[in-house]
Amino acid sequence: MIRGKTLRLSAACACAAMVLTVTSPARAANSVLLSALLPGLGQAQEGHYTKATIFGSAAIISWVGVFASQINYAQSVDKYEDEKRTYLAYQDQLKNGTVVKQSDIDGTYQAMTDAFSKADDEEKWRNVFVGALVVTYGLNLVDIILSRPDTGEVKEPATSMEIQKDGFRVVRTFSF
Amino acid sequence: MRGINGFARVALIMAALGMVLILGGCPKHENFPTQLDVVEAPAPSDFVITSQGFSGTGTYDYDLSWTVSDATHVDRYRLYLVDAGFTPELVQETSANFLPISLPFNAEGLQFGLSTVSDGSVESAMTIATIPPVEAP
Repeated sequence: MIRGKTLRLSAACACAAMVLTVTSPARAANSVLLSALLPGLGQAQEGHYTKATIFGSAAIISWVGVFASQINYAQSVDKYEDEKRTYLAYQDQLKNGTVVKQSDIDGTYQAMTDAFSKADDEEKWRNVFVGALVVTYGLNLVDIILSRPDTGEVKEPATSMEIQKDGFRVVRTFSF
Repeated sequence: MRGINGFARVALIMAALGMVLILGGCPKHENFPTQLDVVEAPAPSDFVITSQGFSGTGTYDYDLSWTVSDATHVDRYRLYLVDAGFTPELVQETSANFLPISLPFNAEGLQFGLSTVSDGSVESAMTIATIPPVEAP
């Protein structure tokens, strides 16, 4: 009987130790969610501050780049659309017999071409930043998913009973 | 490699959807229009103003003449009064290559501009000429 009690006590200690060292499933999921919201947050929660700084900085730079390049791109697209509208309006004016200066047509065409080229360049920059953001998020999520601690699924220790000459013995098995 | 649990999968999908929304919401600058098919006429050349002197009716007479390299698509000519500081003012339209004008003052130094208007309603660049001094009688 004394032997059985000792075993039971040992089992209780092992369980307590396991609970202390293993991250709960909720916390692991929370890390993934935080990293999905902003790269590096999940790593910071897990205590990986270097990774958190790298991912966080990359994400912030990428986000700022995306917003800035997007604003520039949108302005270029607006300018291009304005010039295009003006240019196409000449067609209607000419059909109606309204005299249009060749210099105006050429000037608008040139402005439209320039605006298109500028929008092209701005779009490339925006795509670079969007790509950087996607890569940052992707690597960040892969990292947090692969490197997060055990999900903490605590398996019920197997219990067995051995019958001996003077009674029986309860054995509990733990695996870590 | 550990398997991706359900929550992580949802987070990944949400992130991917976010990216798709960002990209999908961006404006595009497509459909570059084809160049307009305009009928052009060449600008006038050899635009000359010749003073015909002071007439008996109290006016200063001038003859304006010009040529055009290819008159195929020329519908008419436009004469403008040009001066520094204001927009050229349309004075007259003509389909001839010659135009006599009479002014009630000595217009020496005044500039006129001439352009062609094609039969496709496209106006050419302007050619400028300056009124010369009145010839002595």
